[in-house]
Amino acid sequence: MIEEILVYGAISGGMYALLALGFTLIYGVSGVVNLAHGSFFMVGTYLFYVFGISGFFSLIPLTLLDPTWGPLAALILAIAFTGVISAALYRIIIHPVLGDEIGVMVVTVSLALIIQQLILMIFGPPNLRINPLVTGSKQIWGLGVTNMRLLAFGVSLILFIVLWIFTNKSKVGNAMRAVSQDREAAMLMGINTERLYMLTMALSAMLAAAAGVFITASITEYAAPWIWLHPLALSFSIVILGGLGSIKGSLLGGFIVGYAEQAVAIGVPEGGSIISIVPFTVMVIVLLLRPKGLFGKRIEMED
Amino acid sequence: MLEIKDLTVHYDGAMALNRVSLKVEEGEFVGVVGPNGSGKTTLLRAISGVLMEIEPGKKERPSLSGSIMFNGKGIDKSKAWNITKMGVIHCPERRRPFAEMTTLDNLRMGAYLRKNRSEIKKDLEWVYELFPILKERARQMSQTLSGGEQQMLAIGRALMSKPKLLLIDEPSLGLAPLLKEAVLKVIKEIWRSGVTILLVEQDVAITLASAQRIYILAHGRIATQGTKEELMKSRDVREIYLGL
Repeated sequence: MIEEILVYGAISGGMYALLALGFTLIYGVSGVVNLAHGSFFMVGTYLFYVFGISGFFSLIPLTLLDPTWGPLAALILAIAFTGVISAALYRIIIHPVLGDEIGVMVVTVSLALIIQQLILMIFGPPNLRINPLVTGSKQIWGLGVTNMRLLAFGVSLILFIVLWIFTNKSKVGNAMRAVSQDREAAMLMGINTERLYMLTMALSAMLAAAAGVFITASITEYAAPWIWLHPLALSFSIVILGGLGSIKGSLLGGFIVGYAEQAVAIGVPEGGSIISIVPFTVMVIVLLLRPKGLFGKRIEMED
Repeated sequence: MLEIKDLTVHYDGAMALNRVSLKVEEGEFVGVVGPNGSGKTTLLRAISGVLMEIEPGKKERPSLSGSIMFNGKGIDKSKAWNITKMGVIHCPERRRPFAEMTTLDNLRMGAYLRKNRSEIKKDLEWVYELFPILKERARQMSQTLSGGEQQMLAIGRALMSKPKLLLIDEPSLGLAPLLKEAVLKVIKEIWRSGVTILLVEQDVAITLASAQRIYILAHGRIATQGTKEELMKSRDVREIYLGL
């Protein structure tokens, strides 16, 4: 039982951390509480379905493409398109209300509902099956773990490292850190914050899309027009329990929630049916012990 | 180089600047003195453009009228980052270092828009020469620096942006007299190296001791202006505004 919790918890924890990192990133850099974050999880999944499963590639003669590379191409396309769509949506819909925190929430939650209805109109209500990118399974500690789940775990680890290098070593990453520490001083350095917010939104949505494809393809194996709500609830609770705007907090928080969910699902009788209350329960417990979250900064007055 | 005409700024329903006109010629060292709340910081933020930028949680944007020209080009509608690109560099009030970056990373952020690595390196050496303590603190998080060191870092970071016109906001704030003098000495040295300077200060003595020409700002208006000698000639100016 312990082995199951450890292995499955790590796998979903890694994915949750990716999802939450996206939420934290756009909040930390632009101050946007993006209630449409879960929608990008869903958009990424549906785009993956379109490109990879619906037979999209058979429409255009991609003779150069080896069929085994199809899912990978679909994955990359889905993530890239989600990035472009989110950046455009940010510029058109969110940026104009940036100064108004309530306005941002109203706008993003509306966006989430619009996306849900669009997907419902295009794909209809039935669940779409999302096949794993790879098949087969391996034995770990006597547990049969699908290769798809192992892939998901590996990808999450790689993306953490890439993200760390990106934020700490690249020019854009430095700009993101500078803006999240002092917006006005960052503008004085010549950082184009308008463009940076848009880029960050794209990056944030791409993380959500990656989490979307990997979670649906490895764990739930279906897509439906309402699969934005649970990811949003997850990111929200993880980010708050980790400390708003803290990358470390989201990373750790993702794994805490991942393990907690598995512990409840496996260790509690009938635990599978109460799994959806786990993220918020963990969040409440952490906030009771540490009101600013695990790595939260104290809230400072500005000017 | 910098020409401001009838600049009026309304902020949170109050008038922060009232028809301010001001001129800085290339190579000049101009000072603006005024008490707290007289509009000094608003003036510099209007010039560097950050005043008008949209920020999360900043619902009301100030309104601005009048004109700000830099080298003959209107910049009052320009984005803050484009103004920085033109060489108007603002060293902000309360230093505002990037708290969770090292001293060296802070200095590197100053050179964000620059590409020429060898020139950046040369400027970094110059900054270390001006403020040797920054070299010692290079690997230290900037939030662990003392107030004086943070001020030096802020000026150093501004220099890394290669300023043509350097706007400095209250460098003496919270510093011990000896440190004030030291910082002022470096500012003068920067000026002698060819950077035009607009210094905004509450500390009258410091401004009188350094600037070639001084504007006196009171309640958002320019009360009077002139060289140190001209200002000192009038008893009213001395008593009312300079407190000497």
